[in-house]
Amino acid sequence: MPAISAPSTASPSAALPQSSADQAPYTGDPAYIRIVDYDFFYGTHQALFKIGMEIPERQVTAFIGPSGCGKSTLLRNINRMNDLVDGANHRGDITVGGKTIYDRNLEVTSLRKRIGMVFQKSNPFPKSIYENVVYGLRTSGVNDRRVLDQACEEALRGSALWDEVKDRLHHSALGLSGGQQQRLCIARAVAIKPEVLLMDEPCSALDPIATGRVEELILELKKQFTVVIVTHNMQQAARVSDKTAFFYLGKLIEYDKTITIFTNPSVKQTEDYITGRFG
Amino acid sequence: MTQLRHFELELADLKRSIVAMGDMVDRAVALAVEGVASPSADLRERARTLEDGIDAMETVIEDRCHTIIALQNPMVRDLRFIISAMSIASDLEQVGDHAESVSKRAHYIACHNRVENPPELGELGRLAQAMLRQSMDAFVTGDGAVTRKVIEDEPTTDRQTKACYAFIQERMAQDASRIKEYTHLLRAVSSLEQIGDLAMAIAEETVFMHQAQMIRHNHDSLKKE
Repeated sequence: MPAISAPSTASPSAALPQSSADQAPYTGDPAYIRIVDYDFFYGTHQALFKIGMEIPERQVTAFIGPSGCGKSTLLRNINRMNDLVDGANHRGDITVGGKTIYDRNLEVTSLRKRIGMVFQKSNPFPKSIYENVVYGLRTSGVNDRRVLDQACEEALRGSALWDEVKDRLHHSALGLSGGQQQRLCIARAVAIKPEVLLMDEPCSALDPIATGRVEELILELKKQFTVVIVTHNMQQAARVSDKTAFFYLGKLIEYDKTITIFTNPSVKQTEDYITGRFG
Repeated sequence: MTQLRHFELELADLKRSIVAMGDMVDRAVALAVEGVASPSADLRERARTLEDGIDAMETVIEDRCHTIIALQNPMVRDLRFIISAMSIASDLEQVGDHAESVSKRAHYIACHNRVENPPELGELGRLAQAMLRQSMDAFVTGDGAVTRKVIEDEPTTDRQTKACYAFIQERMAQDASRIKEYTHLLRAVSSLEQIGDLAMAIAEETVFMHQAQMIRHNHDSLKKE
């Protein structure tokens, strides 16, 4: 567990926890996550076909495509969530920070500490706000109250939630609004200082104001984390991401800078999907 | 897909409006060119009526574009089309202004002392009108060759304009009693040149619309087809 720096009273971004990736000088690795010839199967059903892509460090990469195109499947494979699915099988490789996620000696739980995830539906534990945020630290064996307090404040500040909950940290997280619960889940994910944050349609259940806050938050988070987001909202992908990948029927159709995908995509299928003409 | 079909109908309707406005502007330019060659009060009146119609069309098109942007979230080629439609409508409106100005100048001259036209003036008017028609063709078809032709013709209008200026300046020096008429003629020449410039701007806009390429200050980048 990396040392936790003192919370800052400056802007929320300044207060973000330092990720392990943050300890090294920022190089803007253009291939922080590398997906190589990746096939994925649910039993006999092939869900992904020969996916090859490089996801840059500390940028936001959006996965878009119609339902069933494989974007969430790929996202969930980046931290091996799909290992839990019966009959799940893969070919090819995914590396994060230069290390394969399929290393036989790698514990999946340690991988998931490096690669946090936020889901479509906010899923706070039926515990206090405080206990939700420090849950990952506690399960890692951190019990020092001062360290936990500090980490909780940092994560909540970093998730733009501190000012709203600082006076009721020990109230139930289930009493928060939907938007607050989602930001709490983001705080919980960043509290353990992952290198990568995976977000699976994080705003689909939120109203426009809560969505706007989460989007602002994503733009702040990318200063310290590599973010990969699955979204059905084209405007959202355009607003928050640096690169966008379009998937269709389990294949990566086009992957480029977001500005290119949304102004002048190379593949007609991409343009037809973005303009709502199919999918 | 009902909603999408409705959206596509709106886009098609907008395109028809631009074409209709282009047609109206083309008639105004034709009147201007005719007025320079043989001025008459009737031409002046018809030019004024057309100009009112052109202004009204611009407002309608602009309003339609705002509505589509606000309600339909257009993206990629649809967004480029809307942006181009607004820009082209504005360019056409300016062409209409210049055409009316030419008609007004020609009418003034007709009502006062007739002066000799520069020999290049007729060709300048015809070329400016041809460029406008071609740029509207490029708007509809996206034909890069037509766009290139418009861009290539622009230096010719510059040369013709300079020749007209030289001719008029010489006449001004020779006959100061008709300086007002020649000043109007000078301004008519300037307007015709600007019609050519605006036609080129429309052609450039069609490249953005069809090919997502900004060539306004870089004509060399126009893709060869």
